[in-house]
Amino acid sequence: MNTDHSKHHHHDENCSCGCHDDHPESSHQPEQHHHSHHPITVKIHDTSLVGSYKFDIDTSFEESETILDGLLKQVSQQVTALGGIIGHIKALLNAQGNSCMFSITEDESDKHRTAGSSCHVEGVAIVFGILPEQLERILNKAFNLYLD
Amino acid sequence: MKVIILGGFLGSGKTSVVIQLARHVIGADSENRTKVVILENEIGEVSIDDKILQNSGYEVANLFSGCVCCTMAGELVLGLHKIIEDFNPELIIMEATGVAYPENIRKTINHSLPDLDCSITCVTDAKRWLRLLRPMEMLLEGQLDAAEVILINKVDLVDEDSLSKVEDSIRTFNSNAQFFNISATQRIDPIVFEAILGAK
Ligand SMILES: Nc1nc2c(ncn2[C@@H]2O[C@H](COP(=O)(O)OP(=O)(O)OP(=O)(O)O)[C@@H](O)[C@H]2O)c(=O)[nH]1
Ligand SMILES: [Mg+2]
Repeated sequence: MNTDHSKHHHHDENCSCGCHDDHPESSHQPEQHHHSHHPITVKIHDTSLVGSYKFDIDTSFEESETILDGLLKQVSQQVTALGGIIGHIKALLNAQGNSCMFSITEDESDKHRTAGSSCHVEGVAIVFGILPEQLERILNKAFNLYLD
Repeated sequence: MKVIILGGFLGSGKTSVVIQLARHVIGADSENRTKVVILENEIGEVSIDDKILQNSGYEVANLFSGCVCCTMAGELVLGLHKIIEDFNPELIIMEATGVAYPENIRKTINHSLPDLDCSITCVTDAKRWLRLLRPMEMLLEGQLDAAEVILINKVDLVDEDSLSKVEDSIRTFNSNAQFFNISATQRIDPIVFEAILGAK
């Protein structure tokens, strides 16, 4: 689940996140160009809408895969239903906490696997032809269960 | 040093091509890994392609949260300087965002780093081309018109008839480029990579 930090974090120049520290051109690493603390953001770029989202699904990788597939299809169907055009909706699902404990007391190793019970999702939905509020609503509705 | 700008609409298959192109140049010898650096530009607030490419074992640098063809030109130049300083690679493959105009990227590079030899390859999606053409015409045209090589991708998803319609349509936007039909999820013929690498 998402922490309060990412959902309710208010972000201004007093913020301690470091994003607002002055960064002289020469030390500005491109990789640090990163600015979101909200689980869902929608930005306008030219004629496209760029929705970004991050959240956790608290279940195994296999189940999360099925859930995420359904959520993203829901997003694409709703964008299309409003007359929008899908650019690309894509996401990366990562299992957290998969581990394997190794133990050797004689010659043979003994392994104990623990399957993680939480997965992290990061993704974008880039679409055309609908309003930013509409995309925001669609993303919020689809991911609602996983945002608290 | 050569820079290949890989452009093309969202989801057309740019990253799928990058993976194979990098493998073609690097070859089997992992010692050669830093011969190629991939520069990813992603428009969202999260980056995905760079993680996929890193997991494939490549050296990847990233510019995300905006498009270098317009708002982030300064970051692009800094990013390239850093890659040259850190790795001095033979080849930089720059994957543009799916909404970028690659010619703008080339102009920025030519202006700030005139020694780099820069060519543009554009990837198009045969399956979606005709559907996207009308609503996206300006962007699609702008992505194609300066390309030296045009890859018509996802030919596995269309029949011959549709493919020839797509080809005819794409050629109306750029008749000078070298054209290749590919399926980037399958093995791409090395001839295609040689054309991309040899493009002037
Ligand atoms: N069937 C088929 N699918 C393909 C082919 N090439 C790419 N794909 C699929 O198309 C989708 C998008 O491919 P990407 O390589 O991520 O496209 P991209 O242009 O890098 O996307 P963005 O960077 O988001 O603009 C993925 O699901 C690929 O597996 C192909 O030749 N045939
Ligand atoms: Mg890509």
